[in-house]
Amino acid sequence: MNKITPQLTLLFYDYPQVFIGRDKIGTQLVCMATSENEDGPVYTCIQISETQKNSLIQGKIDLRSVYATPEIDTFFEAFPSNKSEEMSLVMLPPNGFDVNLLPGEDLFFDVYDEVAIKAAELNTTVSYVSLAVPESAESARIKSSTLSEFLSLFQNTIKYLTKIAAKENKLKISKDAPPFNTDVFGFSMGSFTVHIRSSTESDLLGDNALLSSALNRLNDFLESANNPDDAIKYLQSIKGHSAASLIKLLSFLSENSCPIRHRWANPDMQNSAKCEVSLGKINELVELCKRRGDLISEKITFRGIVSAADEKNRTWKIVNESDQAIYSGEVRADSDISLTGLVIGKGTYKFECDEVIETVLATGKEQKQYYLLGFEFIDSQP
Amino acid sequence: MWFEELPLQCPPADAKTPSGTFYRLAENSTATCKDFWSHRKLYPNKSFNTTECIARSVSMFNSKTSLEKVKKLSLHKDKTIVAINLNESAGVLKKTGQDESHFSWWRLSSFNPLEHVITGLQE
Repeated sequence: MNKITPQLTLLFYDYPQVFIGRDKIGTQLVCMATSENEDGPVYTCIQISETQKNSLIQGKIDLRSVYATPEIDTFFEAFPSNKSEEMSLVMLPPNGFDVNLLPGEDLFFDVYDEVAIKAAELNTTVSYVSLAVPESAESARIKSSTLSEFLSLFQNTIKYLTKIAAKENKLKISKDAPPFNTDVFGFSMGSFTVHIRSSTESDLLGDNALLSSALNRLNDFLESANNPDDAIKYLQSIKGHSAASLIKLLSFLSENSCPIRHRWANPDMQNSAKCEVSLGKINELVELCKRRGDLISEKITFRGIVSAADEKNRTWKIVNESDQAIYSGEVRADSDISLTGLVIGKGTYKFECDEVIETVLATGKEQKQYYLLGFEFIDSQP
Repeated sequence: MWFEELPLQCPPADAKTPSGTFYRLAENSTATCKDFWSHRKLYPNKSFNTTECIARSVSMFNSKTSLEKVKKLSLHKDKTIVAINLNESAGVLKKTGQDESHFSWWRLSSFNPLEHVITGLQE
């Protein structure tokens, strides 16, 4: 028996009343609820071409015309299953469609939002990022290195914004399937538009709540770039690695002369959330951020035995008591801290440091850099 | 206490208390309790390509015109549009689906919808 999987709901009332689905071999059908029995609704379906589907979802033709003048004069009935989203699909005999079931005239749908539609079709959170790099002006092209760098920065930004959302909502992030992981599943014209989706399945609400929150925050931030004072206030409110990831993303856009447009949607969103930032605003904000080094680091304290200190090269190593790991760092060139007099291998020191995360662009891996802000001798006992 | 048992994280955190007039279809000219049941309550074992949380909600429109689109389907053409006043005692609503005026309503058990139907606005 053939099956149909609903993909795009055009009319919802208690349950999907009209939807577009695909059968086992990918044929698209439009289905409308035409009766209900004790087991649930019964749908009458008809095959529909891509062209006619687009006309239907863009409100160019009404539903009645699809059924009254079918492209292929074969009708089917679909029945919801007890177990899965797949529905049984049964072909009706010739002339088996009762014309009394035709919908009224002028039942138009206008649901064409490619991002929202894709989110509904994939049943997951979807994000489209349009990068207006110069090489994309006339065709869907982007330098491999530029795309790779962008994806790395975008993924890191989403990761940190997801962590903020999790912290605010007191939720734990799954290590097995982190909600911030995304996959690229396509690209299209419109500058160079990268199609990104959540790597994980949606939850009960058809929603990846933490990823959605992160994408929402990204849009809020990009929107605030139109008013740099607001953007700086936002960066101050999150600070540290999250702020650094946003600033790096902006710096990338600035360096590549690349305005950005970001749209994202969950399966249950009628319309995608959108935002757009011009290159001028990006450059303005990047200049402001360059003067605010305090936004991009996090304070961290190590306590333990100093295992190395090099006054000439202004580098140091400390064995941190709490995790017994060795941390190495440096003293910033413009700092007046002197490492002279540090006792190596004996006594306990407290090191106050700035932790700055650097991303290795080729791999997306992160490296932590530690800059000594001050130290204190705590205890002479090792 | 919800009218129906709801899954975890349902209703969604961003669902809000309603205020105003909403519209729904009744099987007959006069609304009955069953007209305000979710389709999960009506069809306990069916899968509807929607989330379990939405399956346990009831569709409401804040625009009569939008609900009239539903009536264009032969299945609903003989049903009656009823108007109902919803307030904070009704439960919570969230805008869902493709139609801007469509909401999913999770009802509190203490709320009797029949007491809030605006009889003059039935058609």
